[in-house]
Amino acid sequence: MNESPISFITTETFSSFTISPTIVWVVILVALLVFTLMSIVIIYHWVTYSYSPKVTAKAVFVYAIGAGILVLTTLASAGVYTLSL
Amino acid sequence: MITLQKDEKIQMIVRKHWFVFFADIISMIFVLLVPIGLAMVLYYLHTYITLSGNILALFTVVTSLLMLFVWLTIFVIWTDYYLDILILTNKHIIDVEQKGLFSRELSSFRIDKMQDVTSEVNGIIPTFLKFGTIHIQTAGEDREFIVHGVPKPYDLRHAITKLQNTALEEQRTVTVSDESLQKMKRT
Repeated sequence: MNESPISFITTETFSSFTISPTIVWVVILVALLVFTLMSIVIIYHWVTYSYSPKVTAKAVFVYAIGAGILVLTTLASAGVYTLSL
Repeated sequence: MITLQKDEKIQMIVRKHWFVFFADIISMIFVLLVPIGLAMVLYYLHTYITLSGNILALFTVVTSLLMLFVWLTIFVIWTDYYLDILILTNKHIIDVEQKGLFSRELSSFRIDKMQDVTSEVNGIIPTFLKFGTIHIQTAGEDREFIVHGVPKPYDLRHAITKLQNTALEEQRTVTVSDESLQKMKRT
């Protein structure tokens, strides 16, 4: 009866929580959508206004390789996280 | 696209100094410090807050998404740098300025209408790396073209003046030959 209501709020109450995999996947989806749109705009600029097709080809290649590695890392990590729960 | 006249030839293409690109990119290094900060926060809070599941995988998701946007930003900056050029032809000076991804300005003026060219180098880094600003004043209008971050601005000023002299010389030759033709016709 004398127990203070504050005692219910302990550090243990907040000690463990889970970030829902749905939230993680929605964030990834939105980020990839924005990234794809921005990539289309950049590549459009390279193709339309570039002064050298060789430079455009090199830029697209380097950009795609880097972006591909990062997208695959994101998706693989998100998969590992989902399976770990 | 830039279209040239029939007898017009490109004499020089000037792109901004590499340091201009580098200076914009350097800010990205600070963004790369965010995952390190996040890791430190998670490390110090792990006694109070425990996230369930594979934390390393979640951390990798956040970091790789951040890197993806850093990668995108680097290429946006590069696009801005790559598409910003100054073209010197035997007749015109064409300045193409890319402002971000959704704004592009293309201005050109006749080289014989040019009144004054000024070049300036301000600061320690521009002095050592030899880059600066060039101001081109045109006749007739009160318009001044200012191009920042140009490599070797003094050499460029010299090249522009030389091109203008050649253009004026050609113009004089054409005018003189036209006059002599008319004189010949009269006689």
